[in-house]
Amino acid sequence: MNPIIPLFKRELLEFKKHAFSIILFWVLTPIIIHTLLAIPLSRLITMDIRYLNWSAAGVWITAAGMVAFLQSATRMRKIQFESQQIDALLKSPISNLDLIIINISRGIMYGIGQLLVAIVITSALNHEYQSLGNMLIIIIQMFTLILHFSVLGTLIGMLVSNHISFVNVSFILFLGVTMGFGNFIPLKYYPSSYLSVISAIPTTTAFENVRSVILYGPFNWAGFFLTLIGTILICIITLIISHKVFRKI
Amino acid sequence: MEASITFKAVGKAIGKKTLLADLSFGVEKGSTFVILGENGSGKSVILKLLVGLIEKDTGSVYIHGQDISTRSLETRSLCGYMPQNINLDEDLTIFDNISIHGQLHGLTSVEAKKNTLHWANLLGFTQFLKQSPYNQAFGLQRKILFARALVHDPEVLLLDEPTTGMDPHSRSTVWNILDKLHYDKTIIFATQNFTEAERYADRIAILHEGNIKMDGTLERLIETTHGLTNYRLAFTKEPPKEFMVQLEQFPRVLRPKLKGLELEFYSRERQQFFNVLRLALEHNLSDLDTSICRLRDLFIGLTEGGLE
Repeated sequence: MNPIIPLFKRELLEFKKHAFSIILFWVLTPIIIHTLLAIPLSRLITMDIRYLNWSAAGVWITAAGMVAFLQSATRMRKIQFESQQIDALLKSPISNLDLIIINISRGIMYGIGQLLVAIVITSALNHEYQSLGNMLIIIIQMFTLILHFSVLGTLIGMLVSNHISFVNVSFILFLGVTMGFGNFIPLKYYPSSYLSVISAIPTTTAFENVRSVILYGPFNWAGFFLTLIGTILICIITLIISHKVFRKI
Repeated sequence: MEASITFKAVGKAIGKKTLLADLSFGVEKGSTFVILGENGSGKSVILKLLVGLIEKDTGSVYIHGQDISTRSLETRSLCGYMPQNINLDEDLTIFDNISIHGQLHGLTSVEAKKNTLHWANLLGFTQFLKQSPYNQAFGLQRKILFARALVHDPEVLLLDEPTTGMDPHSRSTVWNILDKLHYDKTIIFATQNFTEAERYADRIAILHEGNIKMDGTLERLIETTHGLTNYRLAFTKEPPKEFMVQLEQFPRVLRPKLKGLELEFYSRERQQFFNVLRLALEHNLSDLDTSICRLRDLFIGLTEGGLE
């Protein structure tokens, strides 16, 4: 039997055990972001379309991205630094790659779950419902971002052993995602020097693509694929680092 | 006999600390090999190296003829490992902890369930299977680790201080199981317990600072002491310093040590003992005890700079 299958079973068993709290978190996160961030900003920011409809993309990105990041990072930290379960796993005939794949998949599964719940909630709150075709495009565009955050979470979880440092990293990432990439504040409000820096990051384009779904605008597929390539690169770096940190060379 | 495990000039260092130094030894198939050593001597490092948790710096290690560096997936599937620390998954029940582990080693879910129930029954924790391992007593957690090491019926069993923290009844259950298993499995266990080592080992290796100081059957190890005897004298009052000074002048009285009211020393010659006894009678001697050197004495001698 492929060792990935029992590892998936393990994830399912953990989900079943904590299902209520996870689903509650999935429901509350988009509501809190919408209430505490999008509604106050909607009173300050003027744009051609209704701000709350536009910022729904920001709610999806923040909620799903952060959930993917936190789930993959905390699991990696837990098995490696907190419970030493890494030893129990590594003594089995599974490879480092198997372990990384399952950790990234965990982030993706939780991220997709959060995305679907967030879409339903923002649609209900804004009374703007997405068509099935739109939903599919949102999921495709968001998948790259969720994958990106999940891989990033796995890498950070592998490297940051100190709990306070990990909280700091997560907080900075949350601030960056919510405030730094035009997810809640349109990019035209930022200084041009800052814009020139963040426009060089492919993830910025990936964020814009998700917002374009709501505006029925065109997609920048180059940004989409560059984000994907960047994610694969981080994944390779994670795998290389895992050979150093997992088996105590 | 056919070799099950072979270490050839294995070295491992982390930073400036040498964990294993040019270590070479072999373990025969179907034998019980005990590694005795003090804390930090490298016992756990050897076991972790065999299951791929630590990479060696130099040398080669083979399990059933397969190099652990190039065939690590195959060699890991041959081994069952019980670590010293508790590393159970707190998000799973005790049953799932063992069953998932069996499936990671290639068992189907039906086989894993059957084996989990079998070992839980033998070790007496069936009633706890649906509970989390983290609410349980330390001894039970150790038994769960033992069951987890056995669930996939490994050919090589690696146990790191297996009975630490277990009550006498559990300890005896574990040894009864190992007694039955040792006919068709290679068992390596690391311990600091001399009685268990003497009772269950086919071969014993005394490890000190990452290298094997002595290795062989219990009988052979005892033979190397050439009839060395351990003497213990008890006093009603602490003997004066001059007594110890006089004692150190006896050339063949080895490692005399006064601990409170008890004097311990080694010697091969009975006459030397009589000389000490004569002297001790002048200083409130209350009791005496003699015993042929056992593993404990040999171990202390080897790891504390020799008995001679």
